[in-house]
Amino acid sequence: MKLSGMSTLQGRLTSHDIRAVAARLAHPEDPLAEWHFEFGEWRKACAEFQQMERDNIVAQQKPSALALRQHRYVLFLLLTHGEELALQLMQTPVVKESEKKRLLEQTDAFLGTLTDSWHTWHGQVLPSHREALSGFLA
Amino acid sequence: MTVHAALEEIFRLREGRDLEIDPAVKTELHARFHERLEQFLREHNLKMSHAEFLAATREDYRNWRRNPRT
Repeated sequence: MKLSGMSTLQGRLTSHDIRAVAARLAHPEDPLAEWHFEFGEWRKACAEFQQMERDNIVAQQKPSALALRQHRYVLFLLLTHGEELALQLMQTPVVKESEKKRLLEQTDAFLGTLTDSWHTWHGQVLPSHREALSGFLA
Repeated sequence: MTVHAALEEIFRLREGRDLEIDPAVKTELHARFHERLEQFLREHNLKMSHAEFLAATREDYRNWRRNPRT
């Protein structure tokens, strides 16, 4: 995976940046216009992450150390950005509390999915737990 | 390896939740998955957290995803 190159573009705005500005300007009355745009982009990234997980982790008999580290790296990026979105939402003053609660629950569902992925592929497996579950795995 | 029907149900709920992209539907599926997992652990008196269950069944989930009929 190449980690450098595309994002800087010699200091110019990326297409993503321009779309975020357009979203804000298209709905100037909506304090969450840019937030909704970022939430949508983050959800797309989460879907791409699922595809990556399926191809590089699930489909492999034994995923490589590199694939596991890449998986962990992207997982951390997505978790960090999701938490940023949640914080932005909580700190936006002019949005109704009921709407904030609804959107936070949705954000948390994606964050929960990512957290479950962390526990599944990077968590510690204890032999006592395998033993306790053995009757369901035979 | 054959997976117990209860575990298979949990695996299916988890896969459905993971692949869902609609936020409202995903919220519902996420809650349903963890409720069912909690029920399973309680019914069978299994002393482990959801996180520990996910780690412990890693290879079984992988095998099931690779071949859902087993």
